[in-house]
Amino acid sequence: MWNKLLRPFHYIAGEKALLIGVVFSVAASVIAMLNELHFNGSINLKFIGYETADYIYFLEPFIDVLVLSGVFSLAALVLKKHFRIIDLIGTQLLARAPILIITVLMSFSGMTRASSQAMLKQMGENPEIPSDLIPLIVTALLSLPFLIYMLYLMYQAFSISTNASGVKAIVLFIAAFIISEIILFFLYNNLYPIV
Amino acid sequence: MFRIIKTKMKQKPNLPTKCPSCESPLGVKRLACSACGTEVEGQYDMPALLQLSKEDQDFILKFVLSSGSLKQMAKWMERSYPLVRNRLDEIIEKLNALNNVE
Repeated sequence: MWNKLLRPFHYIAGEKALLIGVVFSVAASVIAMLNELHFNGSINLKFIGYETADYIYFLEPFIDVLVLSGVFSLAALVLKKHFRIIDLIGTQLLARAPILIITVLMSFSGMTRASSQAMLKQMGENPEIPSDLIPLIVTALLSLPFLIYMLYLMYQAFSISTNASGVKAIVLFIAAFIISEIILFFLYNNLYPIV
Repeated sequence: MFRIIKTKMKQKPNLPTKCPSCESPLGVKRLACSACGTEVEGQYDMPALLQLSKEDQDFILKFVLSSGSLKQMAKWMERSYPLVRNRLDEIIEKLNALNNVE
């Protein structure tokens, strides 16, 4: 059981991982849509300043994974490794499964898009930490292990899909991850300005 | 000088591929026919495949028996496709290294 949780991609990859990843992703998107939370980045879960169309919530995880997989593919080419793009996309999508738990935790935090905007406005006028922020801090602390687990799974997915290991693989993973974040930032800013 | 002491083993013994003294690759010096007892002596290099570990040899055997299908291998081994392909890549690297040494 632990082995499957810590090394899921030793057992699942390709189409199977993609299918399970889609199920987790859609479930997370439904909860995100109900709470107006956006996945506008590789590991982001945020409120934005205004309403968006419902399909955006379902599209975001796939945009994130496609950009990440594209950049990771380039990293794998640098390492001169053989890989199948279906393994990269499938495992990266499944690696995001812990975001479902983070989304559920966020939905219990009591925060809404309106309250988050009000809080930002209040913090702008008065630099004191508002008491409303405490549930958000607690949620962030509870989410942290799942976020770390997600990053660990993303590295595992990259490493197993491309047969990359060692220091070179870790450095390339970090570099590719940062590049993906930059691409996603500009991409989402064109889709809707991130407030 | 290193001498091998014969022991009665219950299990089928593994073929040693490296010298236990200096870790250099071992060669074949004597071959015997188990049917008529004829013995041939000489100095033969061990084939690259035989220099691999028992696990690697088993993997190659299964790979050939599955007509070279990594998907079939992954099913048999109950492991993911990329993990099985990575294992094959590692064996290819080992074989390349052995061929370069030869």
